[in-house]
Amino acid sequence: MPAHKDLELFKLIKAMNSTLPSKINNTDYCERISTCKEEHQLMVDGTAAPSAYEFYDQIGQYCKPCRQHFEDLSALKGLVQHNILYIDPPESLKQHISELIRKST
Amino acid sequence: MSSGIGKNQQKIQKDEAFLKEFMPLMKPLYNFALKLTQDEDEANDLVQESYLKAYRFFSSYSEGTNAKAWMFRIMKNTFINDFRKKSKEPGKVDYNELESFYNSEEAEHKVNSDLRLDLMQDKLGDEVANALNALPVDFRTAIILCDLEQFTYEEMSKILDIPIGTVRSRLHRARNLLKDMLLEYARTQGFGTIQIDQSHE
Repeated sequence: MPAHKDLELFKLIKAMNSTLPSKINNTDYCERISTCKEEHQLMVDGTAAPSAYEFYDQIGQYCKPCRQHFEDLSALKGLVQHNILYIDPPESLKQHISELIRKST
Repeated sequence: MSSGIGKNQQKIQKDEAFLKEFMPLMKPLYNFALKLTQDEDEANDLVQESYLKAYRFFSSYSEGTNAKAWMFRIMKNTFINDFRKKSKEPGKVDYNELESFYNSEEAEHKVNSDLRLDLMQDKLGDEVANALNALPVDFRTAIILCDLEQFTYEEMSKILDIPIGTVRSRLHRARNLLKDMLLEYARTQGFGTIQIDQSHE
């Protein structure tokens, strides 16, 4: 169940009111920032429901704080993934552990 | 006599199965250990201890299941139970051990190991690594498991032995802390495009 329980309602409002996208494009219209934040985190980590991505594509991305938060989270994740070094374990450690295991009773 | 040979054969088979399943995981485990302990010697000990524990409990592991998550869980528990306690104790020096160490061939090897540590610290001395290392260990662990090792929330929940809701909130708090330290740097590196606005924090 997506956190945006009223996704359908939002879609309906959007469909009914064609002026909404242009309004929200430049305003902080979103009043449910805490639930959006949860969704953003799940989206960035790839565990959100498909409806959350759909909501973001259709509506969320036009909400300035939502878009900002989503991009900030993506930026941080990208930064960690690209900048943290992965070091090879010393060969001696591998050999030592293998020997310990073979010698153990 | 024949039962002795049979046991020996069983032991060889067990060892081979264990090494085949778990040795390929040493690189991620070693890096996890380095980030937990922030010390190369302690990381070596933690990896060794974790492997020996896993070997001891190998019979409780079902082959073909999530070996990586199982080993990470063992390492996390070993770190909490043994290494954190040790690090809280005041430093103890066994002078006999120290003397025999400096009289041994190991001392020479140790010099190389220190050089390696220096090299590692130089490389890790960037903004991202420093920010990650500055996080409290529980938050650091959450970021490592999620962003670097790409475990699912469910796997993290099992590794850390906490509910999924706690995994989410821990990640959320960890990222907020990282954000404070790194967001500007992220932008200079070309990640993210939108201006910072703290009004919704």
